[in-house]
Amino acid sequence: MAFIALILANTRMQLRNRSSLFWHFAFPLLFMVLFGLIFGRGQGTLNIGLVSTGSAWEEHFRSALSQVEGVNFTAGEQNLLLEELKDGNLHVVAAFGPSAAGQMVEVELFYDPGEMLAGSTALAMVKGTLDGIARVVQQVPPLFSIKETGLAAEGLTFMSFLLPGVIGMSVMFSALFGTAYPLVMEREKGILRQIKLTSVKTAVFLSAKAVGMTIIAFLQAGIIITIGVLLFDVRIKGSLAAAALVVLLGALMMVALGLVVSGTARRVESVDSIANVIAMPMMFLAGTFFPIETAPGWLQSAAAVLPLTYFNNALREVLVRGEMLSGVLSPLGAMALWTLVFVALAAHLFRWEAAKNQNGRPSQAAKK
Amino acid sequence: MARRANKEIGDLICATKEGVQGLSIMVEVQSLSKGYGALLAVDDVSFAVKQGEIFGFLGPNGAGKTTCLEMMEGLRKPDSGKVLIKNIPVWPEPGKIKKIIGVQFQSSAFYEELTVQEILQLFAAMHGGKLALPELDALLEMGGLSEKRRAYTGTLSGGQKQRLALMTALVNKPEVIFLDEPTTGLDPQARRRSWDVIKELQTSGKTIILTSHYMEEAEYLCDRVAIIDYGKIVALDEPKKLIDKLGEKTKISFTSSRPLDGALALLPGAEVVKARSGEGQVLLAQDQGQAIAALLEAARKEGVTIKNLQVSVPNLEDVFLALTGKELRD
Ligand SMILES: Nc1ncnc2c1ncn2[C@@H]1O[C@H](COP(=O)(O)OP(=O)(O)OP(=O)(O)O)[C@@H](O)[C@H]1O
Ligand SMILES: [Mg+2]
Repeated sequence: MAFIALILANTRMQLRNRSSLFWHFAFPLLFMVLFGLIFGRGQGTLNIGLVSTGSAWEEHFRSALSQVEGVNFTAGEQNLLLEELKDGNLHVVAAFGPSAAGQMVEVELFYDPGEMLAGSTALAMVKGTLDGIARVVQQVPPLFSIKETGLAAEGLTFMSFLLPGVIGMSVMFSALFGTAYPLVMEREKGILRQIKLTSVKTAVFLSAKAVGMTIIAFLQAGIIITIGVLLFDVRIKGSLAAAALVVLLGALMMVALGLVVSGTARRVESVDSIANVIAMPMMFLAGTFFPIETAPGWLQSAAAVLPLTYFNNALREVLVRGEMLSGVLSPLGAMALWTLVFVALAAHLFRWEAAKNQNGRPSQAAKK
Repeated sequence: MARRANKEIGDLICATKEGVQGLSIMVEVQSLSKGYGALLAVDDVSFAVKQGEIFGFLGPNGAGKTTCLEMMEGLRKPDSGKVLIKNIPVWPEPGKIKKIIGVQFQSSAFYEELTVQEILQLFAAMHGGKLALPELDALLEMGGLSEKRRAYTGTLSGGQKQRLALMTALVNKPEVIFLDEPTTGLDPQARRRSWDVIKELQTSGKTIILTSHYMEEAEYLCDRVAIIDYGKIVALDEPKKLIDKLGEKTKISFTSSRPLDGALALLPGAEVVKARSGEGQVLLAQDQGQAIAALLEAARKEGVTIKNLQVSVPNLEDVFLALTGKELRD
């Protein structure tokens, strides 16, 4: 009875609070759309500038590269092309020098080192093409017979990689802040003391909060998946029921972490800093936006055991790689373990009453 | 000197404490004490409250009223002493009395995104019950909140919040109700209304323990009051009787251009209750004629002008002043 009433009340409050609505739903949505616009499209097109020097190699180069999908050529004067490069409209500019028999042809390549991904991709592609041309001209038989099987790339576009991460991140922020912030506020205002005088059990009271946050997590996941599928061609391969189970466990884990934060924070103002100190590094280290393969080994090992890492990985495997639940048992187990640790810690830290300072009760201070 | 006289009055009044026995006792407090570090906030307090009684705690800020109440409610653990409610010891298991008590805190906050009626229903549910519609209507009616039933609590005025706090204290149909300054901050009309509600609760058989800074409130509402200062009960009786103890004396108050304390102490037949105050000085006199003549004489000798000279019958406020040397509110 009290359980149902509390769930109802919590849900009502969340839905009536504009700022919590924004953080729960508008923020992840905005995130998906922005990331989608930045990385989702245009990633395939590489814009290459070709300085018109009248060299015979230009035509070879152009025809060789034009077989690659998604390459755009712009020909023109060097100065103009370099301007374009600086403006970010071109990824690489190539200028062929004069060719004399028996001599190497000088090719000058310009690129913007700031344009990490597209810049270096374009550079590598141009170099590869030049090599290819050389081999053909010199009639060198190919040493390697390359057969390409893109495993990860199988349907896993950047947005497909990103989507489970955005769900993980959103659930983490919502559950962490959505649990800790109201709870500390209720304690500071004395609402918890009032509740302490009722017959409701601590576990019931807190479970009702967990249920509320889990409902929100499901809604978030639903919205993010819908946007991903409709706008960014993300293909959902796994079963949604399995994904729901992962989200459920993830939400509970983050709620439990939120309870730990609320036990640690003495005042509402400190919730922000404590929760951010936990959530921000975790967001980046857990491979939310990109894999962290380039990080130093020790950091990778640390990142591998973070709660959000398990959550993101399990969700990614199930949702976009089509893994069965049986294939993600180990991250699920790790999440369950983290949840237990957090719950035990939170139970130890939980307080109905605000800590008193020497100046008297905060509730009194607030009144006067 | 004034304090010594106060103590005598205090002892006299405390003697009537035993008069409670006989009727069924609802709340019993025995030698209750609580300290915060070096400060003894509640110091060996004992009293009993009968069923159906309105019992008031009067005292200045920091006297220990809230601390005492919260030990009775099971929110603060006493250092020593006992509290029994309906013969059930509150400590060490305060959970046992949850069903029979209702509590309004000195300051209350609510979930701001819930409406008045949602708050009442939620609290009823947390108490393990359900508020049937007629009960809800009656509660809202009683608190004068019928029009506000669908208003978010965040939009309520301070006084409306106070009344909602009182109503949430009632959702579990408690037998003993603790009200910590239920009318502080209310306008006179709202205060009247709260008084009516409290009287109504008494009529329906509830036992009420409240704190207040307002003498007129205690005089009007309380069957008995305990005057508490520095954690100790300095007097406990029916308001009327407390006043009667001072009855033979007359209150003389005045302001002067310069404090007169040295000369005042020597006045024959008068006792200084309050000297050196911006708002004026107060004497309690056995013989008003003699005291006034002596006062004017002393003022003339010292070259001090006396203004706003007033002679009046003492009220509970003066009892408090006589006992503690302080105003109820500073
Ligand atoms: N948690 C606490 N820690 C330290 N001191 C406290 C605490 N609570 C109360 N006190 C002190 O104990 C004394 C009694 O406080 P209490 O709140 O009981 O007074 P009160 O009579 O209710 O006062 P008021 O009329 O202002 O509400 C005060 O001196 C107060 O500063
Ligand atoms: Mg108080």
